[in-house]
Amino acid sequence: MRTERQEPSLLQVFRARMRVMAALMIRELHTRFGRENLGYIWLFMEPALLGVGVAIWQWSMQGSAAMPGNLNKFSFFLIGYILFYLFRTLVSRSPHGIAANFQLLYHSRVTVESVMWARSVLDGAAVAVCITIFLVLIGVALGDWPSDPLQIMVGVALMMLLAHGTGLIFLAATAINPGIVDKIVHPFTYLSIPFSGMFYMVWWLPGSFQEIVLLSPLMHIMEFTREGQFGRRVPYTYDMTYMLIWIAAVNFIGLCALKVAKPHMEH
Amino acid sequence: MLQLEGVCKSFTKNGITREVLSGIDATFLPGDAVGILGRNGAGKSTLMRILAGVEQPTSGKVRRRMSISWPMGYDAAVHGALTGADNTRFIARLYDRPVGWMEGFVQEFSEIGEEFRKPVKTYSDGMKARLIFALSMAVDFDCYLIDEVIAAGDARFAERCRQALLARRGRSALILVSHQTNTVRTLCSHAAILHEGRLIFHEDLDQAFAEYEQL
Repeated sequence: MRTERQEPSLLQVFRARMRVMAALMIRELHTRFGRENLGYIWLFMEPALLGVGVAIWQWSMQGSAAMPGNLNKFSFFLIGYILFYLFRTLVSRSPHGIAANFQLLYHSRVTVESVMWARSVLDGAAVAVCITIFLVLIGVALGDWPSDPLQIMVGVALMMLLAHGTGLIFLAATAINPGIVDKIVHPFTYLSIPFSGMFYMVWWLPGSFQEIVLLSPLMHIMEFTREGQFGRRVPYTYDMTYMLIWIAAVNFIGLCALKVAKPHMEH
Repeated sequence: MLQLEGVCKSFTKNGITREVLSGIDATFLPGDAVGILGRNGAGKSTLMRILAGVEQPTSGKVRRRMSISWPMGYDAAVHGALTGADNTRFIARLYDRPVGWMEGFVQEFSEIGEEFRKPVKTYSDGMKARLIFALSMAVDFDCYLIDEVIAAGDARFAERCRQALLARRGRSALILVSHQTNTVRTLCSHAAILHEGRLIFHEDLDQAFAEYEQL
């Protein structure tokens, strides 16, 4: 027998959302990586291979020159690259994040927001695991253990949140004007590389350059994460409030833009 | 309850805006069995996608106070690269149904046998339709959205669908879109006509059919 339905409580709504998210994440794993062949391994190998490639390239270019502050080159570039990879992959895939999964919207419980969240959290988790594996490998092989692993993970979470909000803005813009966004997204991700701190740290730069690169929230997140990696050996420049304001702003703007863009999304 | 309030939907292509739905008001309650009649291009599938929440109206409001099925008759509810079993597990998790029970139910109801463990894209259209219908029966929605397509194809399965839907009349709402009056007659208790972007309800089926024939 069915009785007249009560308005669900906040907790019930939250649990229902979490259930949808979990289902979407398991499905995303299945559809993206299959259950055969290398399967889930690829989730970790893809960023890892790219990270190793960049690290080897950087290493061979620098020859025997020491890094400023005598930082470990391998862990410096590798973790930097993987962290930026999270930003790049979330942002560059966001414009077509829904078009590729539009069937999901045929289930009334699935919203555009939940699909995007599932992807962001899954990629964030993949990158966190990937970073952990490399930190352990570097620790075992080179004896260079991270000073505060928890701070590194917070850095990954901050990067995921920033990329998620930025991705929402691109997704909304794509629904309204697909032609222009397609042309902008890739230049945007490439142009953000020099402002990401992937290859350098703020204190290496002269003062006026420092001010410019510190406008970029990516730079702050990278510095924060590196502090968790190398500890107090070298100076770091970041402002937690600045990062959080950026994250809140892009997510807020992204959600508002998505609300406006939703009637334009066609499937 | 599923309620539409002043729902408008327009599409813009090459700078030309075409309004498909221009102000639809409707309320569907559990136990309702409504047939929506409309000629080709009247906006039936657009209305269906808005009811299902696949698309958002350009203006107006949709309130959903009951669980609404995906629109039956499109194969979009399942993913081709995944197996029938994978799709079933996903839908079980999504709608909070016991995963093991649902796999058993769907495999049996859909009569697709061992193909259940193969990717959906290898299925015939008939098998896919059976899988999707079985999934919707397993979830047990408060409201079923059905496209006329379900009435076409395999006659025996169409009859089973009809029986299953008739068995739920009274506890689930049923919204059927069609351009044929006879499908509406067998499943619905009243009808509405979608014409020129508006939806007009008729309590009496014969009156609705008469009016529809004159369009």
